[in-house]
Order: sequence, then C-alpha cells, then structure tokens
Amino acid sequence: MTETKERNLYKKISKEDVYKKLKGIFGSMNVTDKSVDLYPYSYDMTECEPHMPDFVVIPENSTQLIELVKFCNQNLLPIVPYISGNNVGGLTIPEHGGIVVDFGKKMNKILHVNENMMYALLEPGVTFGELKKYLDENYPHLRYSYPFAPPYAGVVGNVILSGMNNLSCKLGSMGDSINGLEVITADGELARIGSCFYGKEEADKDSWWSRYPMPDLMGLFINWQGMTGLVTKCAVQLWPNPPHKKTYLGVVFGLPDIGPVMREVGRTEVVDDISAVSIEVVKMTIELPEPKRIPGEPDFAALFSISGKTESLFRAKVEYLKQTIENLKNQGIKVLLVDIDEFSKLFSLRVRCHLDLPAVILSLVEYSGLTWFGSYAPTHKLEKLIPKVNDLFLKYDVPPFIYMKIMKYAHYGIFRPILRYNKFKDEDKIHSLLNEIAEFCIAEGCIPYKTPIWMTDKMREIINPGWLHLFEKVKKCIDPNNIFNPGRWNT
Amino acid sequence: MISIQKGEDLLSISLSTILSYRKNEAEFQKLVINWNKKILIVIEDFYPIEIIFERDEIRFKVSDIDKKVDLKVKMNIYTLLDLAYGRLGPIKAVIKRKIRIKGLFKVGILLKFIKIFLNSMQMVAADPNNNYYELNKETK
Repeated sequence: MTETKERNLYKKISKEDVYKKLKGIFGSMNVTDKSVDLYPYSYDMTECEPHMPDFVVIPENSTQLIELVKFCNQNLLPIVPYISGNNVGGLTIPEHGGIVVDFGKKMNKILHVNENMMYALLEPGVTFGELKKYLDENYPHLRYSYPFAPPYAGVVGNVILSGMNNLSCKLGSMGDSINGLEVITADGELARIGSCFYGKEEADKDSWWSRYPMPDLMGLFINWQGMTGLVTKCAVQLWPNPPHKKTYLGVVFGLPDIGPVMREVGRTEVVDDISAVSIEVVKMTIELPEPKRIPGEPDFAALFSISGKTESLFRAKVEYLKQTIENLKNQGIKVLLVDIDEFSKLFSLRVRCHLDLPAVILSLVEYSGLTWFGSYAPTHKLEKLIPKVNDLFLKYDVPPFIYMKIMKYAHYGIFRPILRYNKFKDEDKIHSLLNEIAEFCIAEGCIPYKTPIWMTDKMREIINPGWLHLFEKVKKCIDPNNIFNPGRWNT
Repeated sequence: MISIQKGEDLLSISLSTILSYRKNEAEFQKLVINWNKKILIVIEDFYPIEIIFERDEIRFKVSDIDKKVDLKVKMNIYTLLDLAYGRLGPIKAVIKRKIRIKGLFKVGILLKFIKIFLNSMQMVAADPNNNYYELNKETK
C-alpha cells in the first residue's frame, strides 16, 4: 500500500487554495484530491517505492497547462506527466507528491496526418492502439512501428523516452523519429521545436516535417523523463506500408551464439526488426508461467521481420537472410531458420502475439509485478552479458527472461533482462537479483533507459563529472525551481 | 474422450497442439484409444521425444535415442514443415531418406501413425485461422 508521507510542499500556498485554483483552471470534474482517485497514480508495476500525488488533473488543452505551469512554478509545486499508467522505472510516480497531469483521458487526439511527408501530429495521450486503428482505416499505405506493449500504451511517452519498436533494426531508437515537439517550459512559455518553429502564433499543421537543421533543442526534452517541461504535441514519422511482409523465426542453440546471429543479420540491412528472447519466454507465452529449459532445447528464439515493396525485392531480401544464416552455420553456429507463420500453427498460435503488435503479451502481464534492467547495450558485449545474466536468473531460481534487439542495422543493441514477480511476496528476492544484474551490466557499459532513481544513483558513480555538471546546469537553467518530475535522475 | 498431456518442452508443446486438434473427432478417437504404442520422434538438432499412446491417454516424454519403442521416426524440422504443408509426401520423404524410420517393416503401426500424426499435422497446417485470440477464448 502507498503511504502518504509528510511533505512540506504547501509553504507558499495552502493545499485548499491549490485545490481551488486547479478547479478554476480545469473545472471541478477534472480535478481530484480524493485518496481513492489518487491511489492508482501512486505506483507502477515495478519495485519503485510508491508515493501519493496530492492532486490529479485532466487537461484538455495547452492553455490550461500554461496556467498550471505558471502557478506551480510560482508556488514550487511538482508536476508529473502521466499518459496511460503502463509504466516501469517509477517514471510517473510522484516522488515528491504534487500534481499528476493525466494526458490520457482528454488530450488524446490524432491532430493531423501528412501523407506526403509521412508524419502524424499527436497529442500526448494517443495510444498505439488508436494510432494503428486510425492508420489502418484511413491511411493503409502508411505504417507506424509498435513495441511489445499493449494497445493502451502511449505513443508519445515511448518516443520521448527512446523506446524501441518493430522497425528498430532499420530505424534505431524511436527518439530519432520525432519531427517536432510543442512544449511548455517552467515559465509557462509555449515553444515549438523543429520545422514547426516558423509562425508567431499557431503552427501550420503541414509544417511538422523535420527536426533539422536548426540547433537541436529537442534534446532538452528527449529522455529527460518529464524533468524539463510538458510536451503537449509531438510529430512522429510514419513510413510506407509495403505489401509484402513476413517474419522468420531463428532458433539458436548455445547461449552466446545468439550474439553473432543478431549482429550478422542486423548488418545485412534487409531486416526491419530483430528481437530475441530466452526460450523460456516462448513457453511463458503459452501459459507455462515457470518454465524450465530442457537439455537439448534451443536457448534463444529470434524474430526477423522482412518487408518489400515488390515481390522480387522481398524475395531478394529473404534470400540474403537465408544466405546469412547459412554462413553462420558454416562458422559452426547452430541456428535454424523457419517461417513463423508455418511454425506457429504447428507449435501454438499464441506466439503470434509477438507479431500482431501492439498486443497484450501474457508473459508481461500475468504477475502483479514486473521490472527490468532495460538498457542500450554495446553489441560486442552480448556474448559476455548473456551467459552471466542467465546464470544470475538461475542462481535466484527465476526463469531466465532476456529480451534483446538489434538497433539501426547493428550499430547498437538492446539488452533487457525482465523480471516478473508477485508484489509484496517476492520483492526482496527480485530486487536483489535486479541489483546484481544492474551492477554487472552497467560495469560492462550498458546504459539503462526509463531508469529508476536507485539505478541512476549507481550510474552517477561512474558517469564522468563533466557530463553530470552539464546535466545539472541544464536542468537548473531550464527548470530552476525543480517543478518538473522532481527526484528523477536524483534531481 | 481422450486426454492429451500439455507439453512442457518445445516438442511436446508442438505435438500436443497437433494431436489435440482432432481430439473430439470420432475417427481420431477410434484410432488412438487402446492403441497402446510408443513412438519415438527425433527432430534433428533437438532431442528425442516419446509419444505414449496408452488406453485413452496420449503422453509425452523426453527420451533417449536408444529407447526401445514400437517405431522410431527421424527427420529435421524442414522436412517436418514440408510434410505438414504438403510440399513433400511421406513416401517420397522416405525414398529420399529425408525421413528415417526404424520399424519400417511394422507396416500396420507405421500406417496408423501416419493417420494419427501426419494427417492431424496437415489439418492443423491447413486451418485458415491464424489468429491466436480466436483460440481457447474461455482461457486467459
């Protein structure tokens, strides 16, 4: 349960007056201070310590938010952005209380799709499910890219936290695919970043087509976990939706051998996405929650998605993938490549939840607790990371759940051990395992994303002082009163 | 009614999916009930798995290659998929030595196993449903 901690927030203004002001801005139906309403905003699926907010507000437009930010900045009240509650790392847990801004309820419109320049302009509350449905129905020739996340997860939260989706082998981090942002900074000023920066008043809806070439201020808001301002609009790139698509399954025997398989396939530059999971995860998907690996079973299953605008282009890509796998076999790596459509029918159609994204993936939701060491990783270290982390899982008698991706044609990778657990029961054991995994992986150069506070604490020990000073100077300059999601990254 | 064990290793899971497809079909039940045979399947690169037909039960057991059984069938995963999707017939597969069978002379057992396993596998493969959410709607 979340305990309400003593706080000293209301020195400049009483809590009653804050409530009155919030009702004035948002309307009484869109503000609450009732514990029963606040409670769901106090925790997430992870081990991160819960904290109650003091208020939750449901905005409808930027004008309301400008007034809120000015008021909070004046009265030193924390503001925590929230979209759909599908969080990890305590990202939207109000560490210091204050006001949670729930974008998911009313600021959830797809404002515009530009077919020519292939982008969608979104409010922060738009979910993957809404975007997919909208594109499928109105722009079937365009596609977005989707993570292993439920349809109710937010698109904007994913991009501004550098999520990785099912075109990431081609595109890399989703943070790279942002064309423009509208943000409210601590003084209550609304700023538009990207090619949408022309125009004294509203931006032309067709002007959100590029992030460059002006000084790239977007970096002040990407990966900052809501610490520098409130994002109120975001333009994300879309891509042509090719008619020919197929996913292949690579089954790899030998723990470290998945490393070269993913790297080599990534470097072919013909695969849209590569994700690999421990073989135990395949079993979790089909309702075996505590699976054991049996001698002789493969160690990893990898999905390779291929697409082509013409049949011959598609076939050429498949041919090259098969040739790459043959080359790996000739090097002594035991890997089998099969068509997932054919395989899944004979195995279990349930594994298709990894293909039909966005989707509720059983293995990620069947326990009350879920946490991870989600990191960007140097791919040349995979052979070292995988066996060690696998052993750590076994040491704690937890079924290994390692999820990996190759990003931007193998320039870098994702290494994400995931831990499912029963909250209030296995918490100590799981936190201890996660701690060991984090220490090992950070020492090997992995960089966690959606980072919980206790993990940034560890990172700070080895980050170069120059970076930390610059980071703190920027934070102080852009949010001098530390009102935006205070506490994140130990601010 | 036939009881089919839920698999816990990859091959058993797959065999369970295939054999469960027709478990309510009268013809399938007639083939299986009281057959009382043990068949060893070896998928190259994986591990040997025993299918145990006993009374009204079908069970699976991770086994070893030398296990004494009524029939041993060995192939690789690509041959298995080719057989399932009709790109290769069983006779041609045997002639081309893509399938190796120990107990080939036990024609009755072999033919019955083909009817039970291969026919079921081909039916699963031919099913037009490709949506996992249309499976077992009553379960989570």
